[in-house]
Amino acid sequence: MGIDITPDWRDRVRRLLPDLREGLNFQFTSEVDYNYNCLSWALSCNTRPFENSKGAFWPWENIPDDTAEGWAGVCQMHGFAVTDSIEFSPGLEKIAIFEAEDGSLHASRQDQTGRWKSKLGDMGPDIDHDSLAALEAAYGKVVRVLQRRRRDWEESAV
Amino acid sequence: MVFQELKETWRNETWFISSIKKRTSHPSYLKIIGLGLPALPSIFAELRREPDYWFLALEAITREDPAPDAESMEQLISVWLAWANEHGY
Repeated sequence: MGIDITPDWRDRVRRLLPDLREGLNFQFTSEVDYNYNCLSWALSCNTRPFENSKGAFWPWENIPDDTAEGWAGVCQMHGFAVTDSIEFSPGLEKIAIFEAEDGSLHASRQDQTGRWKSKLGDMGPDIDHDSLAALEAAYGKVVRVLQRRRRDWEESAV
Repeated sequence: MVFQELKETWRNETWFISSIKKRTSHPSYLKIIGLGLPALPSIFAELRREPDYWFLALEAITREDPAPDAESMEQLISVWLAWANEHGY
């Protein structure tokens, strides 16, 4: 189910990610929200941004908050392990970490159907999208993939 | 007018970035800080209209830090808007 957001925000997303087609390969799933960022959303948190800055959350003192390696380290602390495959695998939850040429990072999480979930930036909306490639225009290449066993999958199998 | 142009450029070029540090080091954000005290009414109006990470600019311009231990955006917004009311903005 999609969410209505303002035309202004719809236009911003269209300009940022021209390969996305609303209703075809992506949909909005939240209003604009400044309370969390893409890394926290990749780890299923929507109450605070994960970053070592005032007003944000970063209790991992020895892990850098601005490198793909650091973000992967935080995911590993949440039970994820590094993998090479972004392919959908039932029973596994995956996170893909992007890195742009300027060093900016983005993280997406795969849901139980194989679609990907992304929070756009610190201030934007959440989207569900079919592919990771559609985000490359803004976020660069996927440089890390991590996975863990899905808890909801195990529960549904009981 | 200058503030509005700088704000639009900053927001358009950084809204999708998940890094407060990167966003607040953007040239337009630094130019807003450079506007100094005359920028405060516009910043607080923006904070009330469409919250964004204005707190680094506010600290730099006012040289005050009313929320040193803030752990959320909500806390920062609340404390800074209270500061604005106390100071007539």
